[in-house]
Amino acid sequence: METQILDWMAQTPLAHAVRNISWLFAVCETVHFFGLSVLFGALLLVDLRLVGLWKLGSGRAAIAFTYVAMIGFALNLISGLGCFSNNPASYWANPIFKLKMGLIVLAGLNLLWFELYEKRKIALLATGDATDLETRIVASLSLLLWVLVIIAGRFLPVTATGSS
Amino acid sequence: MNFLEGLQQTVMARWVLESDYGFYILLAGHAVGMAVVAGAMFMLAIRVLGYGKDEPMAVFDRLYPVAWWGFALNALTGTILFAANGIHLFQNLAFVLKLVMIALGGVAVFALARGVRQDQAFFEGRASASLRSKVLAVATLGLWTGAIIAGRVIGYTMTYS
Repeated sequence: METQILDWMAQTPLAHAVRNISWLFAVCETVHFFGLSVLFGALLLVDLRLVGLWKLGSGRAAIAFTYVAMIGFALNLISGLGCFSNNPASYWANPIFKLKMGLIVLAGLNLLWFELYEKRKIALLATGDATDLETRIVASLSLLLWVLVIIAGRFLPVTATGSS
Repeated sequence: MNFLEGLQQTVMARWVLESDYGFYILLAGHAVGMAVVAGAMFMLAIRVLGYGKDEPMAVFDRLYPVAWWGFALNALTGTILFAANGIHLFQNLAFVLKLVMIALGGVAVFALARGVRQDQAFFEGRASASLRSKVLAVATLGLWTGAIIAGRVIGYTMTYS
């Protein structure tokens, strides 16, 4: 099952393109670095406001930048799939890759909590308003998890087998 | 022995070259610092260009010190990475271009931050940014993106000497 999915992912048009066009893998990686900067920069504006480093700006103003974070994430989902498709079996065999995906899942669950329980409260915040402890924890976790995702990404070559 | 050769003999350079994880620890720090600095600059630029008008410009005065921490992290990790391979990097066009773009990107950000503070109507949310500020915002986006691209190209072209 696992092998079949990995084999299939190695045969998609994207996979063929990344393997056949010499510069495409490098472009995917480069877009990945740009995308992570967009994602993390937007999260700084949102999460540092919610953590309480500053209380300037309404909750809605901060929420506007969550959409910028999503654009960064979308860029990295696509570019990351491009890198992965180059050699799915090699990535899947890499323990740090699985750790990175696990961290992204945790960040996703944290985002789900944000969307379900925090966003309504945040939308009511006026400039100067403090956030509650729960919101501060969710915002802190968001920053922590994405920093760990970036670090894990940079450590992928350490445990990589074969060519990726 | 010249200066760049001497650098490669320093304790930190030997750590990068000879330890199992030194190189990756520095690269990871460099990536986190990049996300902080470049990310913060991207947000400043799109705000000046008109995105997220409800966000007060005064917020960026709080974000600049955070961006400086990211810059400091990258100056530190970058210097050590350079020390380990200065002889090659000094002749690597991508490396030279990256430094030039960071220098110009820094100038653009300083000019932009200064201009924004002097533009009372924009700073207080009563008007959109001046054309000068918008041009500087586009330059900021372009130069910091260029620095990221050049950084990747270093990775693809680097050899050890």
